[in-house]
Amino acid sequence: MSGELILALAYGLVLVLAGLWIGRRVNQDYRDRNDNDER
Amino acid sequence: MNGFQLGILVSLACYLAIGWYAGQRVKHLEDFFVAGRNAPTVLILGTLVASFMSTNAFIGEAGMSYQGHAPLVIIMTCFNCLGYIVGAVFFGRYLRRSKTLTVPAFFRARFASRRIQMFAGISIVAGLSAYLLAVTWGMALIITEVTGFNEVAAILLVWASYTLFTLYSGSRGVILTDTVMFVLFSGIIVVTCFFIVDAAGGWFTAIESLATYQDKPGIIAWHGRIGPDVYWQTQWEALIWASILGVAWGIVVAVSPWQTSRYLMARSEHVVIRSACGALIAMLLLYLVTNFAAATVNLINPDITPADGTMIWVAQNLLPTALGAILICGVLAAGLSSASTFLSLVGFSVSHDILGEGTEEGATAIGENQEQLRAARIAMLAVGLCVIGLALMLPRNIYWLTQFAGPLFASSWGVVAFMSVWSKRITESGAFWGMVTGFGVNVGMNALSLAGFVQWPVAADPILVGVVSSYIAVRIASKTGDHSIAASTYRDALHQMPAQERDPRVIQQTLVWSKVMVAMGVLIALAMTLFYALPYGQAVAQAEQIALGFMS
Repeated sequence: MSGELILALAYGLVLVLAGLWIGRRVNQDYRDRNDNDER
Repeated sequence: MNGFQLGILVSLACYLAIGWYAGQRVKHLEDFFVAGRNAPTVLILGTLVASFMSTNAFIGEAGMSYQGHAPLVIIMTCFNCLGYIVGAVFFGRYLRRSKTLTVPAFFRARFASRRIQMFAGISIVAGLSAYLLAVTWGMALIITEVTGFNEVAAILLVWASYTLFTLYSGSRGVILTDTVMFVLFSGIIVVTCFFIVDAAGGWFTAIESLATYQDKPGIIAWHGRIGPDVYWQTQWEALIWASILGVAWGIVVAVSPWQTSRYLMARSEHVVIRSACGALIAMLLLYLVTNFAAATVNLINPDITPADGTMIWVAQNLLPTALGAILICGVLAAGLSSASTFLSLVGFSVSHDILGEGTEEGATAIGENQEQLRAARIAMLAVGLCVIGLALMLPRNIYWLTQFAGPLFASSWGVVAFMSVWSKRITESGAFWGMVTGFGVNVGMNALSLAGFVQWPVAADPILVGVVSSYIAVRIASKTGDHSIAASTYRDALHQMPAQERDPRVIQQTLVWSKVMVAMGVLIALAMTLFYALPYGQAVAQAEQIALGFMS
């Protein structure tokens, strides 16, 4: 796999992973009934 | 009057008109400092990107890409943009929850400490005044170049334009003009990219030509140009450099006052998260387009000197006059939006955090409120006058000031900002000495480098050494200091989720942003593979075959 292909995939992957993580975090923090969000 | 002069004057008049409109709605201190804490996602997103992308993005970084290092700028962007997400989730939304007027006021409330607020305020004055100076010089340079105005007139014009609307309208005007400027420079850079690619013979021809470009070999290879002619000798050196600086600037994005203070204006915590998601998408796209476009300019004119003038050359020689004028206005807009944010923050810090009471409780009476509003405007004018004095008197050093001023906050505030929310062990003493140490180490190392005594290796970048030193100072000083009950109670209160943030409909809207990010990520990866990686690989393989054919 060439460096250029890795760069192309990594650039998109940054957004994909950040999107998945933020979705999980929002669900965890704002849908959980526990008032204290420290975890 | 030529098209460029007319375009610049018209755009400045538009910003003043928008500032005037927004200023009429400023009635209270909260309107002026934090835009009434009622800003929707689009305005926070606009001001986040506009205040981060200054003239440096279209001048300095575009010049770096023209010289053959676009992929390094792209790799850096990958890392530093993640600062938006990390910053919003682990610091920004708690900052908003504090309902303070400024970021130093948050530190005061969290640690029950006036000295921390004073020090954070002083670091804003030092760092952002320097940044404001650099941006003012950058904009004046562009105006001088394209209009023929003399330097003093250009500096005065730039200064007057951002000072007038910021002074009158405060944050209400700044976020509105920032968003207009964000739309302007984003739109025109995309249009410019089409013209550049068209002039270079179309997309695939351009990729093929750049892949085999003899004058600057490796110009769009994943590591950019390397070798004895440039700073990076090997591809791994280049990768490490871009990654370390990317992480360092990611901390800047996550905690710097000119980014996080935007969250204080957000309508809700969900707006904080959504705008951070939007800023990440916008920055990744804008940097990709701008820097690949700048690299492609080589195929049209390989001899632009200095390289920093690449986009100015494009505006003057490649685009039709009207579009060229809009491009210049877009580049200036990037500078003006940063300048107005810096000026407002320095003014707020002087009037509220350093000279004022520094608490929000004192501003309840209407008369007192008006008095503080006046004090903030006077402070802003005084700061503006100092900056213009310095801009006219000092020798120009845009690059160094930018490199010094931005990262200063990562070193000084980075550790303390995150620990203020997430650590039970950090004490007032730890926070104060952590800030002071990070600030001192960063300034000291930069001063030694500027004086020519030492050239720091990239692994010992002053930003990162400052962050590590700050953390060590926090740990040591927190062992000796006491944990105050007020500070602990405040920290616990920060983690209490406000009931209004749990509305299922609003949560659903926020989750749409995460889905958009995933979809955009897949699209970008696919587009970069089909339109960059594969044609690049084919062009290189073809060139190698031809070379082998010649040899045999």
